[in-house]
Amino acid sequence: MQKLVTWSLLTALGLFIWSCGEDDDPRVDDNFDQKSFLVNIGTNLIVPAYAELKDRSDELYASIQAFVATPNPSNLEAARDALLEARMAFQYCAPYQFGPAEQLGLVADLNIFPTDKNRIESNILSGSYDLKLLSNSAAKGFPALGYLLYGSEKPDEEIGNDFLNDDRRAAYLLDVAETISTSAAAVFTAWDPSGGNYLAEFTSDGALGADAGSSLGILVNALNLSLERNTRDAKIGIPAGIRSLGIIIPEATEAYYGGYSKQLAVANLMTFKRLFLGENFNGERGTGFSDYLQARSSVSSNSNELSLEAAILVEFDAAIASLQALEDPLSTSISIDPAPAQQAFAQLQKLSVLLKTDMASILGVVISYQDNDGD
Amino acid sequence: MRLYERFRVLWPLTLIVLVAACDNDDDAGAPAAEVPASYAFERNGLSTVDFSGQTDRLNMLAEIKAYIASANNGDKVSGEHIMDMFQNLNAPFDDEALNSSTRKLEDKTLISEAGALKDMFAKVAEVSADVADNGTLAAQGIPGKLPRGSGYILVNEKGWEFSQFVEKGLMGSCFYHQIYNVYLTDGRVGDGVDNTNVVEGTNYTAMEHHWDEAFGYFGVPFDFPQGEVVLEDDEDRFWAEYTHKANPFLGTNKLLMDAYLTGRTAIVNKDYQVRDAQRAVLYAGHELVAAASALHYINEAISDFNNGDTGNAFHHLSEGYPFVKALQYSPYKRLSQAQVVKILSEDFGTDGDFWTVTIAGLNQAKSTLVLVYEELEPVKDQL
Repeated sequence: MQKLVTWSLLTALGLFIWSCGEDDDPRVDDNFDQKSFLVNIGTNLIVPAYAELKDRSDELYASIQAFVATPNPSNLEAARDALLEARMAFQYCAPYQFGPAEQLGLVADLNIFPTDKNRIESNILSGSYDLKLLSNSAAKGFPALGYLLYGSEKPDEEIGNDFLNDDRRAAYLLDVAETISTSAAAVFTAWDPSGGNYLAEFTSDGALGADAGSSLGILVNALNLSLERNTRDAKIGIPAGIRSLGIIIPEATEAYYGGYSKQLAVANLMTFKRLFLGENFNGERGTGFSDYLQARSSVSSNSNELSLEAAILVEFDAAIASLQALEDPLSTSISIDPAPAQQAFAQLQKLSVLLKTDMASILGVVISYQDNDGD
Repeated sequence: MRLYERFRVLWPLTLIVLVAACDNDDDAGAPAAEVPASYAFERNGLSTVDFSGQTDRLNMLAEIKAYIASANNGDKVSGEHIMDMFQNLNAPFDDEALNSSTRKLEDKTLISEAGALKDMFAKVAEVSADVADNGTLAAQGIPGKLPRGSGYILVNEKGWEFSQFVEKGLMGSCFYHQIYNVYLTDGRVGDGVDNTNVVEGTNYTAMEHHWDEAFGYFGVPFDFPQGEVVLEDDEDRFWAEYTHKANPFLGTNKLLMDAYLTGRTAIVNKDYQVRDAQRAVLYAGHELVAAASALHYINEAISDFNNGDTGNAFHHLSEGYPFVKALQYSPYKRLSQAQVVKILSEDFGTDGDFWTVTIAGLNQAKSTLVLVYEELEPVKDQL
């Protein structure tokens, strides 16, 4: 039924946009240069984010190789540090899970959580596994490395021994790290102007406009999907019991074993804010969604006083503050008191509504991904 | 058409007979009928359209699907009851009109598929009982329940969701099969079929009726795709639903409806060239809808994969798989049988085992479909 509604809404919206005619075509109105917007987002935000992810993933793989060669506590510590760096870099890519990232299954390779420790152990035990299979999604990626590097109750010296004494365990650790590194490199190469140059496609004249196949349409859909399903639900809502009648699920936190789920969530949402502002890693502003909305002089539906771009920024800051108010390890803090996480979920929900409903409609973008329920 | 060739020598004679017939006809000199805006055709002021048998079968499948899907809620379902519904025995339906109908799905389903379906009926009963009694969770090689969203789906040992395989499966092996291999064939609407005399006790010729029966399996309302709500809730199902879903991207609503209307009018006008041109449009158009639907669910599954959402991935693969399979039933299919087999037995996992699906495999299936159905290329990521 929801699907029916989605489809009919989609059609209705499509008709509506079509009937609005030339005046609402983002290519010609508002004195807004959509091309330079896309060039800024693509060149200054997306490609550097994937470059960062590739570099950090390469370093992670190298540090895991060093740890496997010499599994002592200092190499374990170095590997753990590299894992955190790579996971942070992954947050910087969160809104950009479309095009090469989706086609190559980046998230599926890097960050499916909660991880399945039973599957990991049975893979290690059998020594025979194909990490590309759907059924191994929860047995690889950063969360699996988290389990392997932190998951034992033993002192660090003995964790090293587990890998020293078990070739299959060491091989599995290497395989998971290599898959991450290969996958991150493949997505970067696909975007890289000296590689597959998806950047050129993303910023091409043919991809202007707001249609389903336009870069704007794809980006707005992707960022909303990621914010909703990943940031709001997976990182916060599901562990905080939103989907389970209030029953807390600590092991569903993103970095359950590493204990820094909150840190990842904050970095994640800051990335969305930077994208909204068109701001690069160094804090330099370029053309962003806020400029786009300003050009359309739009007003928020839930505030009579603020412009939409100002209202969204207020919600961004409130949501970031609500995430910063959480405590790591999140798995522990939500078990003691889930209220702050539920509060953060509510803030993320407010933000999501503004971006998905208000912003998308002002920009003339149809949200085409479907809700999960229905038949 | 072969029939036509064979009787070519008789052609002049036929003409004479036709002319003679026209002389005696009340309609002599009447202008050719024009293509109507909706599916309404009359003779002597009374409708000539009747496809109640098709509507009955659509309603039967709706009840079967709903019944099997009740197992997703943890209910035990009975294999005998599903068999009864498939064969219309022992008054199995909630809708009394279906129980008193002489129609059943079984005898219209491709024989090679009916057997596999019956096995599946037995299996879903077995698995639903196991899940109800033991709460068995599905895993590779193990049938059971699989979490999806806030609920569950019931799957077999390959991760196939029973209700989807039965519903979408019959859409192909019964509805499309009947359109493709029965009602649009020369045997039913070709030149050798009676289009002069009305069938006794009815108001239609055999040829008219057969065309209408194909239309009945399409399942759209008479005025499709007009109307403020193009498909009401009870019409938004089976091929009508998926034609309408593909429409924003491919214009499939008008394409198919125009072909049915134009072809049916041509039959009234005995203009068989136009009829045959519309038949070709219907074969290609119905096939394109199945291809677009398959691609849509492949895209959904790739997205689910990236969400680590096994329940939805298997649900969407369970919709996509039978749509790919439906492509094979057209005698004029554009995808080769070898390509169908490769997608189903490799790209959708080894021997279709969803537990072994990879993103690379799904992308492979996607590029095969886009290569063959080039209309899908511009919308391949939006579908």
